[in-house]
Amino acid sequence: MHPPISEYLAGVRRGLRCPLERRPEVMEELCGHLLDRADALMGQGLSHAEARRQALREMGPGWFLALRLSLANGWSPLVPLFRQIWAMGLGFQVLVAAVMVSERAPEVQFMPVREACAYGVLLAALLTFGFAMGRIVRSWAWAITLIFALIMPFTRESQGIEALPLSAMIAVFVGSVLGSRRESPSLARPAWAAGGAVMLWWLGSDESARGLLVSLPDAVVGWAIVASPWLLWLSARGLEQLGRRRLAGPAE
Amino acid sequence: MPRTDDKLLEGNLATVLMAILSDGPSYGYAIIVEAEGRTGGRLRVRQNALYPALHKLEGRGMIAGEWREAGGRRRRYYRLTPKGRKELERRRARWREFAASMNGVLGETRYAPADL
Repeated sequence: MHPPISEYLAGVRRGLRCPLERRPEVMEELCGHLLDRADALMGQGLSHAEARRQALREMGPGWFLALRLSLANGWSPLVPLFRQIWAMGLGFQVLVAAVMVSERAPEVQFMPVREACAYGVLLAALLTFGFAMGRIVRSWAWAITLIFALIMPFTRESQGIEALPLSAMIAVFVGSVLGSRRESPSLARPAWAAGGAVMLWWLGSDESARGLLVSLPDAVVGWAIVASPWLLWLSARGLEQLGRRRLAGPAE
Repeated sequence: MPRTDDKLLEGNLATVLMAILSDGPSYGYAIIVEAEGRTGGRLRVRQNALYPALHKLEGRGMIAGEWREAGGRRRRYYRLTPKGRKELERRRARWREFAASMNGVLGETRYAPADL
C-alpha cells in the first residue's frame, strides 16, 4: 500500500502492548495521521516519497512510539517480565511432569493401542500448551524448551535424551513457535487446561503422592514450587488491572 | 521564530489538547495544526507525544473518541466529556495562579491574574 508507512506501522504493532481488540484502531489512527502529514508536506513541495519519509522521521522511532502508546494504555514493563518467568517456570514444570508420566508408562500394562492413544493425548496437550505460551510470551517461549533441554541430562540417571521426552520438547517447541505468530486470547484458555491436565496427571501419580502429600515438609516445599509461577502470573494480572484502574480513576 | 520549550509543553500537553477540544470535536492531525495555528507556530506538539496523550486522556474519561468518515478517510474524532470540561476548568485556574506567581517572581507586571 504505502511501503515505508506500512513497514513502520508493522514495527509499531509488534511493540504495542494493549488489548488486542484496540490494536487495529490504534494502527488505523496512526496510518491516517501519517498520510495526512505526508499530504501536507507534498503541498509544501516535497515529492511523494520524500514526504512519506519526512512524515515518518517526524513521528520518531517506531519502538519508542509503541512504548509510549503501551504505557498510555495502562501497560507496565513488569507485566511481560513476570509473564516470561511464569511461562518458563510453568513450562518447566509441565515438561518435568510429562517426562515422569512417560517414565511410568512402560510399567503400566496398557494394550498397545491404548498406550499409543495415551501418548497421543499427552503430546496434543503439550502442543496446545506450547501454543498458548508462544502467544503469551511471544519469542521467549522457545526458552522453555531450551532451559529444559539443558537441565534434563542432569536430572536423569541415564544420560541422553530418550524418544518420548524429546518428542514432548518438540511438541512444546512447535506449539510455541506457532502460537507466537497468532493473536487470539481465547486460545490461551484450552491451553492452560491442557497444561493443568498434564500437571494433575503427574500429581495423581504414586511418585508425586509420596513426595508431595505424605511428608509435610516435602509437601510444603513441593507445593510452593508448583504455586510459585502462578504467583507471578497473578502479579502480572494484578499490575494490568491496577494500570487500567489508575487510568480510569479520578484525575490528579 | 522561537519555539516553546519541549519539556514545558510536554508537562502541559494534556491541558493544550483539552483546550483545543473544548471548541469542538477534532482528530489528531487537525489538533496539531490547530495548536500551531493558535500560537503562530511557536507551539509545536511532538507527533509521537500526541497519541499517547490522547489515549491517556481517553482512558481517564476526559475525552471520548469515535470514528467518522471525513475527506475520504476514516478519522478518530475526539470530544471533551463533561468530566474533561470540569478538569479543564480546574487546570485553567491552576495555570492562572501559577502564571501569576511566576510573573511575580520574575517581576513581570504586564500580566496581572485578572488579565489572564
